[in-house]
Parts: sequence; C-alpha cells; structure tokens
Amino acid sequence: MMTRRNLLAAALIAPLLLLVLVSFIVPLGATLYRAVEDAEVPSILPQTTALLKQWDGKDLPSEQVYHTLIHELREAQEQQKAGPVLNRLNFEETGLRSLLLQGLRASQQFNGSTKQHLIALNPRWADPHVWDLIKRSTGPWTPLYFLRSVDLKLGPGGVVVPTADEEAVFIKLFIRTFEISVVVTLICAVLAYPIAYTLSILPQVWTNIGIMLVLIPFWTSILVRTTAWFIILQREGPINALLVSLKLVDQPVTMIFTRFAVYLAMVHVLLPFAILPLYSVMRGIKPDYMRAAASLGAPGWRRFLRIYLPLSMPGVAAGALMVFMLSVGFYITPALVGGSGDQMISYFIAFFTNTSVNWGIAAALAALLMGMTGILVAIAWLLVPGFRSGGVRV
Amino acid sequence: MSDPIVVFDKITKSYDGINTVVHELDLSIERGEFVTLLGPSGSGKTTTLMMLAGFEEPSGGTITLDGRLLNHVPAHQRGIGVVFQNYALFPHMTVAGNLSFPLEMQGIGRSERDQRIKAALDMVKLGPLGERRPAELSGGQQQRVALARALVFQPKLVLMDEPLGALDKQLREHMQMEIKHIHEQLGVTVVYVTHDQSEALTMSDRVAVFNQGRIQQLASPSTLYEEPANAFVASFIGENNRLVGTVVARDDRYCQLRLEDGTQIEARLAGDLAIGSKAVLSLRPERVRVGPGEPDTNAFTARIEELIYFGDHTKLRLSLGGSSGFMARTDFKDGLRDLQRGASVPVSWSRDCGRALPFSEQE
Ligand SMILES: Nc1ncnc2c1ncn2[C@@H]1O[C@H](COP(=O)(O)OP(=O)(O)OP(=O)(O)O)[C@@H](O)[C@H]1O
Ligand SMILES: [Mg+2]
Repeated sequence: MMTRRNLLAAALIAPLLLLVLVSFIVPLGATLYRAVEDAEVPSILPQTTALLKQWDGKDLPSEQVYHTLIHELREAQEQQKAGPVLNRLNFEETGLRSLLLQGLRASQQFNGSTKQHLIALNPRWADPHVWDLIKRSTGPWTPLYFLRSVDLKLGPGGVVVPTADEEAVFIKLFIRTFEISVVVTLICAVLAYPIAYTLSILPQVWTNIGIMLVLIPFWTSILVRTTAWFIILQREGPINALLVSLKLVDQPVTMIFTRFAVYLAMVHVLLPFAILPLYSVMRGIKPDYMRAAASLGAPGWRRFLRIYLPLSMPGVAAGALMVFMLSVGFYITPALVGGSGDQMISYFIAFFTNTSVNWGIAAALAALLMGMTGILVAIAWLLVPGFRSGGVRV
Repeated sequence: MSDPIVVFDKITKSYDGINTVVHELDLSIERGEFVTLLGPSGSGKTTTLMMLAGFEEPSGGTITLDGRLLNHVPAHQRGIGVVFQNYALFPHMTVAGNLSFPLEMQGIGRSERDQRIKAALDMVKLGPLGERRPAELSGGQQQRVALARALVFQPKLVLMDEPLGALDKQLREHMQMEIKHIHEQLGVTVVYVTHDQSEALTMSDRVAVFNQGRIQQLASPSTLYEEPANAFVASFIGENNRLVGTVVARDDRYCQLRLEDGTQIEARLAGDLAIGSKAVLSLRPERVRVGPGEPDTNAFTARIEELIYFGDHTKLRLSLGGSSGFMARTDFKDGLRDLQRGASVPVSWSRDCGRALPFSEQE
C-alpha cells in the first residue's frame, strides 16, 4: 500500500529521476541509436534501396539497378546531397567514393546500357561484392560502426574479418587510452595517499590551509591549467631555461608533446579528485583503532598494513575510480601537451563528430568506451576490497 | 608481602605545557588487584590510563611495570591489554580475526591460535559468533568481544576505560558481574576507569578517587563509603548531607559542631580539627532515623519540604539546621505512612554516623 510517506518520497525523488532520464538515459540512448542507425543511403537513394532489397546477391544486378543508382546519385549531387551517401559508402570500403564519382562523371556521355558503360569504365562494376557493399548500406541498421570500433569489418559473404592493417587503429587507441588512464590513476593514488594522510593528522588550522591549497587549483578551469603546462613545458619555457642556466643540461629537453607531459598535466588536473575522498575517509579513522592495534602488540608498519591501509581502502577506491573515469574521457590535455602518439579516444570521438562528420563511428566509439569502462570498474568492484561501499565506511 | 605490579612515581602530565592535568601522582597497584580510577569528567582518569598503556608520555615522573621502567617503552612492547570505551574492534575483520590479531603479532601458530580464540570466545559466552563482523553484533556483544580481545593474549595487566559506558543499566550491571568473575578466574590485574560510583564500589578491590588531576583517596570501597578522607570524597561517593559549622568542643574522638543557626551537633572526628575551626558535617541520608524511637545522640524535629517516592523507600527533603536541603531516607519500618509535606517529624542519628571533616574553600 502506498502510504503518505512513500508518496512524499516518490515526489521528492521524481525530479531527480527526471534529471537522470533527461541528462543521462536519453543521450545514452541517442548515442547507441546513432551507432547502429543506417539512414543515409535509404533516405537519399530510396529507389536503389528498394531495388537492392530484391536482389539475390549472387549474380550481378540488372541494368535497371545500375541505371537507378547513377540516376539518383546525379540528382542528389545536383541538390548538394550526395556527400553523406558517398561518405557512408566510402566508410563501408575505402575506394567506393572514387569509383562512384568516376562513374558519375562519365555518365554524362552514356547512351544505351549504363551497366555495360560502367563495366567498361571500371572492371570493379562487374564484381558482385561492390553491390554487396552498397546493399549492406541500405539500412535500416548496421553493425559497421561497432565492428570498425574494434578493427573488424564484414568481408565478402558477410563474414566478420579484421580490417586492413593501415585502417586498424581503434584497438590500439583503446589500449592507449586505458594505459594512460591506469598510469595516471596509479600516480594519483600514490601521490594522494601521503598528502591526504598528512592533511588528516594535521591540527585543524593547517588542515584548512592544506585543503584550500588542494581546492584552489581544483576550482581553476582545466583549460587554464593545461595551457599553463603548455607554456611551462615549452622548449624555450621556464623549466628548460632553469635547467640550462643551472647547467644541468646542455640542450633544452623536449618535454612538450610527449607522453611525460600528458602524465604530468593529467595528474596535476586530477590529483584533487583522489585526495578529497581519501582525506574524508582517513579523517573518519578513529585513532583508537591504531591504539588498539598497538596495545595488541603490533609495531608501526604492521599497524599500517593490517589496520590503516584496509580501513583507508574505500577512500583509495573512491578516489581511484573518480580519477580513472575522468581520465578515460580526457581530451583537451593530451590534445594540447601530447604528441600525435599520445592522443586518447576522446580526441578521435571529437574528430569524427566535428571534423569528418561521421557520427556513426563517433557514437560507436563513445558507447564502446563507456561499456569497457563499465566492465573495468565492475572487475575492480569485485576484486578490490572496500570498493563496494564506495568510500562509505560502515 | 606487598608485590606491586605497577608503580606510578610522581607522574605529572600536561598536554600543552600550561595546564597540568595530572599532578605528581603516586599509585601502586598490587598483582592481581582490581583497581578503579573514579572521578568526575576531566579529572585525569583517561590520561593516567593512557600513560600506562603507552599512548601518552608523562611530562614528569616514572612508571614501572614489574620493576621495568616503562617511560620509553613503546605501547606495542608493553604487553598490556586495553578495552576502549568504544571498543575499537577492527571493523574489517571478523570477531575471530580480531581475536587472532594479537596472537599473530606474537607469532603464535595457527592451531594454537584457533584453540585460544575458541577458549576466549567461550569465556565471554560468544562461542558461535566468531565469523560475524563487529557491525553485526549488539552493543553488549561487541563489549564482550573487546574484553575477549584484551585478554586472549594473556596479558598480566588489563586496562579498561569506561568499558560499559555505552550499555543500558541492566546490561551494565550484568557485565559488571561478568568482568568481576573473569578477573577472579584469571587472576589478571585490572585497572578500570569509570565515573559511575556504584560500578566502582561493586567491582573494585580498591578505588582511587580522582579530582582535578589528584588522587583524593585510595582505599577499599567500604572505607571510601564509611570513612571518606575529605569532603570531596564524601560528597562524590554516595549521597551525603553537608552541614557547615564551627567546632566548639572536642575530645579525642568526638566534637561538638555549632551550625550558623545555633544548632549543635555531636559528630565523630575525621581529621584534626582545632576548636574554633570551620568544619563540615558529613552524614549519609540512610543513617538518619525518621520517626519516634530510641532517641540517638543527635535528635531534632524537622519540617518536611518534599517527599520523593521510590517504592522500596522514600526520600525526605527536610529543613534542619538552617538548611532546607537536608536529605533523609526511610523505609517506613517505624510506621509513619501518613507523612505530609509541611508536617514536622522527629529525626535522629548516632554521633558515630556523622563525620566532621575539615572545611576547604574550593568546594
Ligand atoms: N589530547 C589532549 N590534548 C589536550 N588536552 C587534553 C587531551 N586529552 C585530555 N585533555 C584534558 O586533560 C584533562 C583530563 O582529561 P581526561 O580525558 O584524562 O579526563 P577523564 O577523567 O578521563 O574524563 P572523562 O570522565 O570525561 O573521560 C581534561 O581537562 C581534558 O580537557
Ligand atoms: Mg575519560
């Protein structure tokens, strides 16, 4: 039975649910939808699409199919709408765009059979696989983007095969993204632990000052802080000037556009996210636990390993989780201070969204990133003690 | 004859270098004894205990345990069991894990550990709960685990800082008896801190009454109750009537006190009181006889200001000797069930029950 209290609770939670729905579930759904949707060819080449649905896929299609394809493409081109279709088909297999453009250009002079003209123009038109590729693009759904996100594609006959080496970039990218994130998370945890511990045992006045020192950079925009590193790490920047003037090095050291710079700037940006949860957990560890351990005969290092470390573990877990999640989505910092080999997956998601306008692959990469992050966090949840309480000690 | 296990010699403690919270404390604890530190909040009981456990360093003086100077021995090498007020059970370990911890620290092997854990759990009647986490236990059960953990590694000395403070009255009284029995059974020396006087009186061999960082009296419970050394102890232990007056006559056992309103009372001397000096008469409410009967040395008629009913007895607030806060206690053995507020009743007490103590300004 719904009591008044329950009703009240539901009414209080409703705005939150709505917020989660609007800000999380809807965009997530839209992203997943984008990643599998296949609308370019069916919407711009509707007749070709309809004809190809009836094609048996074994022999070459009839003259009518060749003719309709070229005809619809030309109309689209005249209305400036051919771009998305050509992009879509070229993404299915590189080279399809030039094949189609070549056919389009030549078709002005065609008289008689379009099929024979095209085959004469380029023997690929006699390959049923080309038509297979076009048919695969006629929607309404496609596994293409997800397959490509893990360097796979559909080969002849619809078999899943690895993509050509020069196109197989995404798995490497995912590995690099998680590698950078794991390294940054480890560095942050190792640095945050003693800092948070010191903060937790200082007298209150000093703790407040310390927390301020942690929070001030935290309140500064990521872009500003990254730009600061960009300037500091330059070949002609202050660090190199100092090193050279102290005669520690003969030549300025290359720091900008390296992995080192990425780690440095990311750790700097993310460290507060590791310190704050750790500090709050450590603050709650009563000194009586350590006293009890001492009275029971444990020397300092054993007290730390057996009592303090496990009790502070929820803070480590909460901080590491936060840092890891944020690292995985990092974009600006590696883009500014990293080299071409240090870019993370978000850089490519942004690139596909803004520059090459291939929202399908951008959405698939984003969804996959989220899925993999979720799986990694779930593994940590199962393996790391103290993780489950999410930093809340009982 | 005397075989002290712990000796405090002129122990002084100041946390900030300005306020001294323990003043030149001398205390000697016999082997196997149950000694309670009793006193009001902030009187330095915990501080004294913490110095013995090794969590605080004395600012001056020495502590010895079994003849060994403790001042610079770290806590983990002292071998003293401690029961904390909030138990301080390790929340990430099971009950058995908590008990196993001190044994592991001593390098005791698995099978003996298991045996001793089981014995300790049986001793505190928690046999089947070894695999629970502390958070899954009731307050009383947690208290028992804390007790078992402080005893399982067989220390010669166990310290307890208000171990029963968080329990309800009934459970507290039950645990008092259990702790007492365990103490007798194991023969371990216990130093116990409480600010509950009845707890101190029922459990201890000797009680050290603390006030403002000083031991006011160190004595057996009956001595504390019957012969408090000073007015602070008299008023802190049990209920007490205090009447201030001047000594007008004395011999070597008794004296005559004249109160401000002229009332004269005869009482036993409990300190060296010269004629003409100010003194406090200390008298327990239960020593006052209410109603007619064999008149005692001191017999008066008092007005009833208030009746407080307790079931097995009734307390009376009376006007007597210029004070309207004189308490008496009666169980109606002498009849008189129809006492009324505002009525007058005869009251009397023996001169041996009233104790005349030197008056000190600070109270
Ligand atoms: N860590 C500390 N730093 C500074 N002063 C302290 C500290 N611990 C205790 N004190 C002070 O020392 C005095 C004695 O404290 P202590 O804890 O020994 O009293 P207590 O007798 O145990 O009182 P309670 O019954 O309230 O526990 C108090 O005035 C207290 O404010
Ligand atoms: Mg205390």
